Amino acid sequence: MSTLITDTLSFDPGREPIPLTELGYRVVKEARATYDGGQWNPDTNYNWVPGMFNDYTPLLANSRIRMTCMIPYARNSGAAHCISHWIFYANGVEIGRHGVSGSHHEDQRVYVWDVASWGTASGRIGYQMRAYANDNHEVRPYTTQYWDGGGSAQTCRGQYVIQEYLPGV
Amino acid sequence: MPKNVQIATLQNVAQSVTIPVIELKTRVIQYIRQEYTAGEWNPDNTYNWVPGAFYDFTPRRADSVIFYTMRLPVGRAGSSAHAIGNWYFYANNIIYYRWEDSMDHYENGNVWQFQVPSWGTSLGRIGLQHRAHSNEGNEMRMYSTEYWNGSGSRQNCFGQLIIEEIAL
Repeated sequence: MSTLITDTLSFDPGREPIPLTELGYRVVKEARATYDGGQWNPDTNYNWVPGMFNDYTPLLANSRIRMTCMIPYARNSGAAHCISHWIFYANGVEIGRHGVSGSHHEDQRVYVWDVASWGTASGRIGYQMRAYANDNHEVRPYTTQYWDGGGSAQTCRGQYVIQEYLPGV
Repeated sequence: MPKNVQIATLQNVAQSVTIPVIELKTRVIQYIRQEYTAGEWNPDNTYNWVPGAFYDFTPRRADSVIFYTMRLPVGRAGSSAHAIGNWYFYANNIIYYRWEDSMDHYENGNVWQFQVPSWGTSLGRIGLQHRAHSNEGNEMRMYSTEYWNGSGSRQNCFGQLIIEEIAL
């Protein structure tokens, strides 16, 4: 009654059947958030980037968790050369690190991290970041430096999407 | 056991979920994940495959699309602050994209994503080639930082390639 057993499914006799073995890859849980809190000013300690972490409880222990982080940032204050250091964590484990640096650097980036589920307990997933120096050589998320040909800082949104999935194929 | 079930929708016993079977048509039919942990890669001024950023892939279908996602952090290195890199994205010997990235004191945790049509069901290489503007000058290095924790230390960065073949 509760299990359909078949090799393929068809929705139209004139169309190619869909093998069930090709339906193994599927998203089993999703979380997302939009950050509207405006410019974030980091310091020289690692802190969670607001809007770029989630206390997430995986649905399954054998899944993968893909976090897509969409984050604008800009050079700010002190020096034209901005430098920042970023670490991505999942459930207390460092998954990887990278810099964001450049002269007069402003951008909107998409970062994708794909990690194994840590089980079905709550764990924090997301970015920590620090500046090279406090209020100097600094990258600030969620802002611009110049806008419309002038020096105005504009507030930018950020967003992340977490998709927990089973590769299954 | 039926070999094939022709049906318009699937529904759970509690009737809380109804799935039109036609909506299952777009699906991932092949999945590859490759992780790169071998540390900094030093390019020169000829094009080479970026280690960890290519894969010899055989599509399952000729009418699918191949969705390529690569996390490839870079950091400026070499004798000049101004890093310049030239990139090709290939799929089965076809150059789909080329671009240049360049900046003074450039570092980033780059993620590149591309979708290309399947080239058929034969083996083909998909991925990135790179060269530096000049060898050991105006250079960026893959899987590395320039500065770390406020100083000049270089850190190894983790790369990750995911290939998803999608039937449409």
